[in-house]
Amino acid sequence: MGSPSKKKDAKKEQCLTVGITGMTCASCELLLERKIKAIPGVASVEVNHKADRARIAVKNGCTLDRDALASVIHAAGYSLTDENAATLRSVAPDKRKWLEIGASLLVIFALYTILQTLDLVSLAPSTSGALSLGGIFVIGLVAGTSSCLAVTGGLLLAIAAKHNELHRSASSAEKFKPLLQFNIGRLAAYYVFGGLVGLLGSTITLSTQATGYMNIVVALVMLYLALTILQLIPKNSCPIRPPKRLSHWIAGISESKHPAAPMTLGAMTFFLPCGFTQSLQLAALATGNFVMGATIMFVFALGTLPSLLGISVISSKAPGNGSRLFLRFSGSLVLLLAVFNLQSGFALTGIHTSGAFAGDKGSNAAVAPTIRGNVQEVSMKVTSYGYEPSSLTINAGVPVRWKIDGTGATGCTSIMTIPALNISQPLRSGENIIEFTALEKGQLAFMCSMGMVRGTFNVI
Amino acid sequence: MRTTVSIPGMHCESCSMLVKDVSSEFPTISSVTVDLKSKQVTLEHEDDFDQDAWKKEIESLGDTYAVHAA
Repeated sequence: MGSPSKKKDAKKEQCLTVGITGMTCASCELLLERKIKAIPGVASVEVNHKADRARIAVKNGCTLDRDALASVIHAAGYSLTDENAATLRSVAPDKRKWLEIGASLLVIFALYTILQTLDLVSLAPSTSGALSLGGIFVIGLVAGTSSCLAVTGGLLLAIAAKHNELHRSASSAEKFKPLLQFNIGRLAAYYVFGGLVGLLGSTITLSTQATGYMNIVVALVMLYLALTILQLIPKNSCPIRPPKRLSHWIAGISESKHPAAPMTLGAMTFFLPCGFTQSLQLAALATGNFVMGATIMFVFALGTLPSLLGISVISSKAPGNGSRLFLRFSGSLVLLLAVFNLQSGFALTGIHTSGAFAGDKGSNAAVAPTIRGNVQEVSMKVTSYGYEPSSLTINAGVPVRWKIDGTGATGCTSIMTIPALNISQPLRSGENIIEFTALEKGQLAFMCSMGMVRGTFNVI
Repeated sequence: MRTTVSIPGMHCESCSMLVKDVSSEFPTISSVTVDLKSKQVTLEHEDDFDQDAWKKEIESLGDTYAVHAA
């Protein structure tokens, strides 16, 4: 360093960068800056919690005592990422991050495949299931492990993960609290709204289109949370840049410590698209009575509780190092669920997508219609895997008599919708008939009320 | 003597460590207790403790750390 430099600082100082993990906020930066500055020989220090690194300037003639640095950082509750090779920082943690995310996705995919092979995903009572309170509880139990969990459980995971990230040091009991509040809000809302459904004699459900938009909004919220949880986008920044007020509201609700926030989210799940919820709202509606309606919805929510509480307990018990893995795992899961919900939402609002989750893979050979007089007839069966066949051929301009065997209908498949024709019909066990006429040639999509199980008419 | 003040901007363990760290520079303070839930800081200190200097030092950390009377 003999050559004279233009910058005075560069002449007498030597800079180095070290990686630090465990920082969550600006307070962590301030704390570490103070601690590191106190080490003899340090001229100045700049800590960036988003980049997980500290840039340290050392006074000329001094060398930084690495042991002192490590112990100071450790004492403050953080850790130096690579104590021997400071210049190689960030490579290791980045690589590890991607490895962990990849592993999480693999595990989730494997679990999903195993569950599907064992036919556990669709272990559901059919529409013919008894509607005794005990039966409703069982429906709830099953709903808790079904597609409904994709939305509600996803939100719950997002809350849990976000909360863990913000309050790393919190005890299990403290971590559990917002999740409990979420479930309390959910139970209370189901009771009250269920009662209202019974009293008013009309379901509080959204139209197919509105459900689709709701799905998209929920999916975007989950996507944003997943990406921040996985640290794929920096905190407080969003590449899509939603309106400031909206993102503040979302961040505010998901990060708020106020008990009302998780409770409100829990209560809002009543309106989340879920076939089970919708079919039970029909049951509550049939009672025409506040207490009965309220009881039905409450018992249903109670049934979903075990699996939701399971998620809560697991997420609040995750210990120190496990909590990082939990964040990675739940982030990946929320990410997948978000993509899944997004597709359903697009399908319901009429935007055509195809992808890994494109519903049923049963039989894709299109089945031609049987012509009877001036009516063409097509039949289809609802199974626990989806629609069979999922692709039907019909002629344009000719009235269609669509026979659907609804015996295997469960959850959202108990309501059949054709968004483009504004058709939405609950399916009974046994034969159901939907009549319509397709005027335009091309593809006509049909799907369950959540858009999660889909099929198409080939209009020729 | 004991003084309790409120720092509403404190939100995490780092904030509490930060307050304790700053306070440790004051020899007149013998102990600091931070309650993150109520956002209150309780100081055990000698009679000649200069609270204004302490407040100034804490608030120099940033706008988040405004000190209010409890």
